[in-house]
Amino acid sequence: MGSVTAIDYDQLFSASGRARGPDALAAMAHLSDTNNIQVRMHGGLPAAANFPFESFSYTLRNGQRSTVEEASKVSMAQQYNLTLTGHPDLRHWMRQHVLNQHRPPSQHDTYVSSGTNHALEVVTALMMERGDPILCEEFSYFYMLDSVITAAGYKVLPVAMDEYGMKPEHLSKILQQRSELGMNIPRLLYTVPVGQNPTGTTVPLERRRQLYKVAQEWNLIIIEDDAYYYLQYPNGADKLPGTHALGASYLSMDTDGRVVRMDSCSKLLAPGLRLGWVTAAPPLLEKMAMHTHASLNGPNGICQALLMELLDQWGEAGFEKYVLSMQAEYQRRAAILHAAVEKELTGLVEWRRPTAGMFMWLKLLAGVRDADEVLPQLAEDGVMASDGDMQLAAIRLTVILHNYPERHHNILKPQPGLLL
Amino acid sequence: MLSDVPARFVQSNGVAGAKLKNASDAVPQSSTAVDWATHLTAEAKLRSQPTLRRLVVGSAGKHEVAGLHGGLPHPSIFPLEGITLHLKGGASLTIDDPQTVTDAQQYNLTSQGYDPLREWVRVHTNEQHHPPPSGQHDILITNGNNHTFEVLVANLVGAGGCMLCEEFTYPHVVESVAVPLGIRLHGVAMDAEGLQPDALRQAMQNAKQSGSSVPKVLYIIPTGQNPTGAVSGLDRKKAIYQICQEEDIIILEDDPYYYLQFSTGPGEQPGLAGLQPSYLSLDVDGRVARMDTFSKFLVPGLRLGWLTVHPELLLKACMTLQGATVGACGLSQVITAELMRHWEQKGQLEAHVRDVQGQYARRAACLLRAADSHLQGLAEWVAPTAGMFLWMRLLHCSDADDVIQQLVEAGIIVLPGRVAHFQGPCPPGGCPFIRMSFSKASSAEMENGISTLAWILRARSAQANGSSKNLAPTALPSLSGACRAATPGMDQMAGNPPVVPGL
Repeated sequence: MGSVTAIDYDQLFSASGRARGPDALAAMAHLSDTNNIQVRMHGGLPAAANFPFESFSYTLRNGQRSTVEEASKVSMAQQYNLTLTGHPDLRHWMRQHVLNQHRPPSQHDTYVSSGTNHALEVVTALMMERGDPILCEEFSYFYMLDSVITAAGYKVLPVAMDEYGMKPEHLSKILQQRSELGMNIPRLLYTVPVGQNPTGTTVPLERRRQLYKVAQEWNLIIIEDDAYYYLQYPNGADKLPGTHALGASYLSMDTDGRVVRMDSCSKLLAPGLRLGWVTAAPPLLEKMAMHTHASLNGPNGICQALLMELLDQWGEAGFEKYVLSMQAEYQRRAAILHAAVEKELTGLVEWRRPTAGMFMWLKLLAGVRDADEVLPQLAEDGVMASDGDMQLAAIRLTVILHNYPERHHNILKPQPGLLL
Repeated sequence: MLSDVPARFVQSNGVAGAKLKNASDAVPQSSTAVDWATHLTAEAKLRSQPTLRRLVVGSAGKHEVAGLHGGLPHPSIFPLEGITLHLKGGASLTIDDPQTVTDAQQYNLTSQGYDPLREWVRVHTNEQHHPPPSGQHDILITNGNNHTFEVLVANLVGAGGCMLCEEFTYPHVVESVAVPLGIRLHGVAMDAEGLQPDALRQAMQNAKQSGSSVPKVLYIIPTGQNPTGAVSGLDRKKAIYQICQEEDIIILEDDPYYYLQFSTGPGEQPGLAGLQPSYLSLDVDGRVARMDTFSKFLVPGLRLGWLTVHPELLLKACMTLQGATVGACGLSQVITAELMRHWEQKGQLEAHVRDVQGQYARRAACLLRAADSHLQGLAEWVAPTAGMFLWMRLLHCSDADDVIQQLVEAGIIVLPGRVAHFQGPCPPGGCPFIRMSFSKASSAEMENGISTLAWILRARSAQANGSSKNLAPTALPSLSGACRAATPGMDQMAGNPPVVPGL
């Protein structure tokens, strides 16, 4: 199959994706934007006069504080989203930030999302029919597997991983085999390339290039779910990368416009905001924004307003400082967990020191065939770990600990009969 | 029923009374109770609680557990320490209790939503609707009604399915849900009070006789109906409910304008106590899925609402919502819970609702005055008593499109009724209706809009009668022409509103 270097998205959309267009009200909205319109009685927007809030103030843990009090901002925070792409100022910040961080080599656009989970639901619905296959890392994000893929009747095609992520030769092999058997070729490849959930793997540049090439050969759309992108600490506490040394994303090499990149505020800031941003080629992004707006009426206004105020207050320097502080925090916790595992479990498990994100993946040795042999007893002893129901001798530990460091060591001491 | 689900999933952590009925009451089931197995889609049946979620929820709050399992960021890492909401009128609400601030920033730890908000909603819903105990209703905090509708459709109708709805309905449902999912809508005729019972019976007859699948879900907007403004009274609702019992139909009660019931006459506004009874209040079978939202009576930017429904459907809706957005926005839930608590202490929720009702009453009255004064003999309408829309039939006109176009040329936008038709946006035979919103326009704008419409209709009428004088488009009245004095308190516009999609 020849390389495809320009995506014809119309060929890739599902039936519902093709049927999704700007609704009549959006068309009117377009109209309403023109200069001669004086009287607008077509929409159902509540009047700002009824909104109860006059301003919002916040205080950060580091002592910084600010207030959103300008009338138009306060009104916008409380009103429905008036565009399909989120608050214009916040979207502008996100779009510019993406351009600075990733310098995508072909045309992309960005909208403010309501979190990556929803964006995943939207992009799969736009491009897949019930029963369609989707390529995933062989260990993957539980929610995507359970709540998006299984629930919608899609099929997972797992791609084998090594310590650098998906193996390009296995990816090629799966696709080649399907092609030879006349089976349908998947459209989507889902990956969490940094601090992967659950294995903690970060895919290095050369591996990414190889995988991108396979995607080109088979015209795959790559969903880059980069929830842990900012939380990288590969060189320890002394050389934290900040925003300038985070490695090349798939977006940064996306000459074809086949990458849909999802950024999230959840791990960087807080999950309760339900905010993020999505970047993709314009034909796909437009559909995603329409679908997101149709589904949720866009992201929460108050959260957008607070986030914008925060980003304005920080400026570039403040944002950099904040990212560094998050990296330091995660690195510290990861180091503690790593030290404890090294001390207590050497010889009993295989693991790698985390270099990003919040997960450590332990392969259980010593004759354990399935984590289910171990997890219940761990739980009884007061340790919750997870294996995502996989038939596997591996468990995932989260570096986010409630109490550390001392308790930690006790937790990981091998209990009698627990690990051989 | 719920036996395959860990008990902890359904109940909230620490707050008693998750169900609306008193858990200790033994309530006999209604003889027309719903068999949910026959209503859930294939997708719904596939849904089960994600493994990790079960672990997280199951161990939440247990401090003696070393939680190394979830992907929950640790609260000490969250950036916010406190928020203060300054209310109009001078009061302030400060949220700085560490646990509350954490809850605002964390993923939902209880699947059905933030407990203090759920508790408020539970008590409030009980007070407003007194749902019959046999319905066993339970509460889920949602992202607002648009999304909740999508969630319910996924679980009850599915792609390629079918559904009953009012002949004219919320445009979004047609264009953004039914069309992309290939869902066949069965539109049911309406009168001034909304959906007609006889027409509903007829629609079911037709569906059965046609040989294609019979709809089992009715989507209905019973108060300040979008687009017609109709309000269904109690007797009307009882008649419809009875048919739904006979035909085993699930009722999706979409009620965003419930609190926006008003009186344009001299009397008091209804407040919270004087609102029309809902379908939920009649629901002995547990066949009503009631969607409430904070968008119209409080703040649309919150993206928040709640669903009141039988536990079997609630479970599926909850899991769908978890999969979609991991529940509703934490910050919105906390802000709303705090505001409701604050207002409740001072009896201010009632005052706020009355205030909002009064605003809409004044706006409606202004639009109606203009209509009465200019449009007699040219259009017909029923004065709204709820919501934000005036639905108007243009007389001597089979389709409103020409008129709409001329209005646009004169600088006025209203919604063509055809966009809200269940076969919209281009229903066969055309559509002589238009929908005018009185939620935001100033009194001057309304006056201009109506008088221009009158001019256009008179010109059409004259043309139809053979007279062709004075019809040049340039003869349209200037929009800066004579305006009525503003109604006090109404004209607080902050400039022209920008793009208005999706409503």
